Amino acid sequence: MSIPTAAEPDLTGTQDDQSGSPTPERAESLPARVIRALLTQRIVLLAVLLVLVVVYFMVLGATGYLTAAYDFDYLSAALINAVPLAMLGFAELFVILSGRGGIDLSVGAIVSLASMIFGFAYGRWGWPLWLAILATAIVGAVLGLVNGLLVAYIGFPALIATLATYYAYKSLAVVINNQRPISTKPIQNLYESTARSVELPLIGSWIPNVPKGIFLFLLPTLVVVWLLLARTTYGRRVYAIGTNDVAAQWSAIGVRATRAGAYALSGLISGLVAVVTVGQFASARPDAGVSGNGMALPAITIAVLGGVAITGGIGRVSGIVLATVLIVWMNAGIRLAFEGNAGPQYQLLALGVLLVFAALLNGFALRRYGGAG
Amino acid sequence: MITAKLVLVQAGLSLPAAVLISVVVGGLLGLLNGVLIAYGRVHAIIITFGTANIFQWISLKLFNSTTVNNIPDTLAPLGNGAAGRTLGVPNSFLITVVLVAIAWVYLRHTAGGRHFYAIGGDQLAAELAGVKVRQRVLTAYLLTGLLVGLASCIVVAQGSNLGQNVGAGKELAVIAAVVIGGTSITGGRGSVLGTVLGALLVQTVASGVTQLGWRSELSDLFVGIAIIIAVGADLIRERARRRR
Repeated sequence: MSIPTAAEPDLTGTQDDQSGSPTPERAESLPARVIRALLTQRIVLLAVLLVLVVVYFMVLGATGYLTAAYDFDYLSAALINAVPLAMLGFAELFVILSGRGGIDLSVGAIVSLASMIFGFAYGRWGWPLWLAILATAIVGAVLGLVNGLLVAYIGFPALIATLATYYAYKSLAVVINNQRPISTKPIQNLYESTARSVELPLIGSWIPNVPKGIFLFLLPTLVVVWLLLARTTYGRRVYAIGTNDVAAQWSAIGVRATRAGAYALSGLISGLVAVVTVGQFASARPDAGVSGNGMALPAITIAVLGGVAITGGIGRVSGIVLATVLIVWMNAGIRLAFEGNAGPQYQLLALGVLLVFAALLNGFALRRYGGAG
Repeated sequence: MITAKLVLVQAGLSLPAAVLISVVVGGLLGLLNGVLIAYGRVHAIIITFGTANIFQWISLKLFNSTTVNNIPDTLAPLGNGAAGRTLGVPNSFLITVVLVAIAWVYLRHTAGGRHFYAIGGDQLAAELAGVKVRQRVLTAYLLTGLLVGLASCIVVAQGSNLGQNVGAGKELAVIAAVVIGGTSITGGRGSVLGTVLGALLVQTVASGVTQLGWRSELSDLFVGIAIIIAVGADLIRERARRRR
């Protein structure tokens, strides 16, 4: 079902060529070096693509082709869409990094179910906000832990386990409140306090207003995820088991617990995303995470586009962030370039093309240079 | 894993032509997947996620995202009505039986079919044994596309109208059926009969839940649990066997 690619024993994926293998490519010409940087340093490629996309749409906007101005205010407002996407990208990052075909198809369903739990706790039972958020995050983590136990301890292929729980959670989310959304007063007010754009203090008058969700949810998650992956033993263990299961086992790493933890973290983040989406829609919807194509596919796309190797062990937080911003701003541009519902259709196309392109590129870079950063 | 809604059967063509076109289109889309997977050497899941989006876009473009209402009568022999039955048995079921027989013979008793098992069991060993791995992988996706093309004809014929997302969500149900039927997700193991039983089980669970008067959404929960039990039993048995 899959064509295995050579696993690279490159722990971080950031290995620098100068210190690397003694290849005869020392005397590379400048163009060759640029191409190498584009192919192996995913950050560089994404940054270039991002600039291209923004400049392209700005030029289109300047010539009056777009239906509204594609300016910094618009770009900044569009960032609210980046909050759930990037966070789910982090969720997939943990799971895919942990290796052995790690993938989490159930994130969207966890978002749906956790949304309903949050709706009950905050909207119906009148719990204080912090307690409701905490409870939602814990529910998400428990749902993720079920995946983790199935995959790490019983040995389910991740695809199957999360497919099964996707079904189960999705169905529970629909049944739990008879298919009806919860949108009581406190839930409706949540939009005001979590999703609205605000002017930043001090520098706010010079830059566009930024959606609150960025500061309340995305940045804290970003910092914690980065610290966890890059600065803690747990994070290094995740890279280790993703790179080589057996070697990690022999280095006395608790492979199973580490892997189960990655799925639990993915669930925890999905729980937080549930709070974000409830705020964004001003309503706790039973199909929040699974309507349309669902949330899992975009999240996996972002992870792959962000340079996370599907075979595990390679991938970074910065790649996810850039990939998210790229997709969000590209979608924002597409929405202005087409009238009616042609826009969302082209967004589908763009997402699909990007995913195929990124996957082919990952495979190519791995074979050509060994290790996609 | 092709979600493409191969709803090209419209056009009011005669039955054989419509079926032929949709099977050929399905084959072409499958071939595209196969080329990307076999020659681009990337993960099948990732590629098919990507192409699913692209195919969906194509189908939305083709039909201007409207719902097609009048399914022409030419498709009636595949449908649910009286015209769709031979001796009281739905023709679509007869087609399925024939396909099951063909697939069983192909996978059990021909070299080409055995090659699939060989590649799934150990790709490198298969290659060394002289199996043209890429070609066979390509064929697998081509066959998938052809079958999806045929299935789409039956789906179209059985419905009264044709929404834009007629195929969405099918891929998960299908994977569930195959896995419950005992096919190993890592490849190399699985049978036609098991897959048929898996599909029947999934459908029976869904109908059962509705018959019991429960909410139809609950059937997904039971399909999920069925997957976990089926695969879990397999895994535990495997582990016990290895320990011995």
